[in-house]
Amino acid sequence: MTDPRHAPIRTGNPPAGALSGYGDADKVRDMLRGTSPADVATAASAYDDATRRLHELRDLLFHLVRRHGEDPAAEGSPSLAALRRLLADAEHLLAAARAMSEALRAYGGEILPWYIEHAPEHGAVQDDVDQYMRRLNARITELWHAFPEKIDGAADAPPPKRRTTLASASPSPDAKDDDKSSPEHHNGNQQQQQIVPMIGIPMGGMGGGRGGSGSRSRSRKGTRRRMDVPSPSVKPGPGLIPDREPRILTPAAETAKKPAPKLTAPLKPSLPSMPPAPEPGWTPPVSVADSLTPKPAASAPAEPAPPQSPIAEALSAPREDEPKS
Amino acid sequence: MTEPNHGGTAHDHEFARGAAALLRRELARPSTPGSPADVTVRTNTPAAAFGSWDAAGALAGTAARGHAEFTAAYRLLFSEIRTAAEALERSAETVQDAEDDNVDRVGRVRELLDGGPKAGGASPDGGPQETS
Repeated sequence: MTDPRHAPIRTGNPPAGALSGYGDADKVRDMLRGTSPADVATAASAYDDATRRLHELRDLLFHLVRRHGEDPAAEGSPSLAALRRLLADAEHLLAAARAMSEALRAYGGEILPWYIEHAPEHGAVQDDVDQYMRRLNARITELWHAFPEKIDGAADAPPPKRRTTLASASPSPDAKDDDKSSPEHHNGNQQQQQIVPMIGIPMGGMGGGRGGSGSRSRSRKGTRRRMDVPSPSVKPGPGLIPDREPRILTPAAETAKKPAPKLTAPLKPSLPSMPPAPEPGWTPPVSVADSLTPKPAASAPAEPAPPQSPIAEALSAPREDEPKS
Repeated sequence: MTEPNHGGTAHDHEFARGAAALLRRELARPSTPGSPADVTVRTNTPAAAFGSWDAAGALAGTAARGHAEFTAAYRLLFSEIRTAAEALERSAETVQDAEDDNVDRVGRVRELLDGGPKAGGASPDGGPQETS
């Protein structure tokens, strides 16, 4: 059986999805509403809890490794090696849990809800429905790279929360190419040219009375600069700016970018105090390293020499608590 | 390999005992949020939750592999921590026994040195001998 720490998680090619063929607007909307973002978000929460637990474990193991490593004689001992291996495993799992949590939270907490809320409505032009799905699939492709390659490996892409440009409003290259290469978009009617930011739905054909208010739209003026607006003259109508834009990169969000997970030592590990060290100069007979080796009785000589004096006799005498033969 | 009496630290067995206790304490929360059992259950997301179309299905497959491998590795980590705690406890006992034995022997030698050897030699069990 493959060690789960080395087993691949991302296999094959990223999921690209089809360019079209998902059906009309009604079918796509039903398809989106058949998903369960809450279940995906639940899994993300579980990884959050695992992250917290692993964080505590990592701190504890780091503390133990540091304390044990203070003993020069323990260097190379099995106990120290075991603790170091546990520490490395905990760090790998911690990074994997973070990546999984953030990827799932982006999908179940932001991307899916947004696309469900802004699914094409009845009567939407088929090209726009297809483009809507291409955009959604592009987000899925990006998200796929945020999953760890394996437990002790890294993700191709930083987690979505930190790599907000991944989920930015700028269209994916293939989507942009699709827009440009599609003759219908260049030769079609004006309605098809008026594309709502983010999802590319014709202004006249999609959810005109839904979404945010005009003031909210104005508040997002800064963010719209980075949206997929094919022509600067085309402005979205009121109510077409979504309430929540999971892929918008605002300057505030950029400055509030979360720092990369730091896997180094915590400055002040919240650990209970270790047992106090004995008085200086006291030396135990064997080290932890020795006791963990397959020679448990290293402190007693295998064949004691015959006593030559009362002192030697006392030193070689059997212990009082041992049964007399 | 460390030689006995020359490679140990002053707190070997206490360190091992304390480390084992701390690791045991971490393991003593089996059903709290974030435990392997809890994570295994809560990450068991049905594929349909991701969506029924092709790209969503592929993403669900990746997530399912991630869940499976993560939970397996997570359980393995806790299992290895338990093993390490047991090994540290054993090592603490071994060191403590050897230390007690040495203390006993040194005590007997000190008594002999203080009191001097009695005619006929020390008793075989090395017990204290009164000198009058």
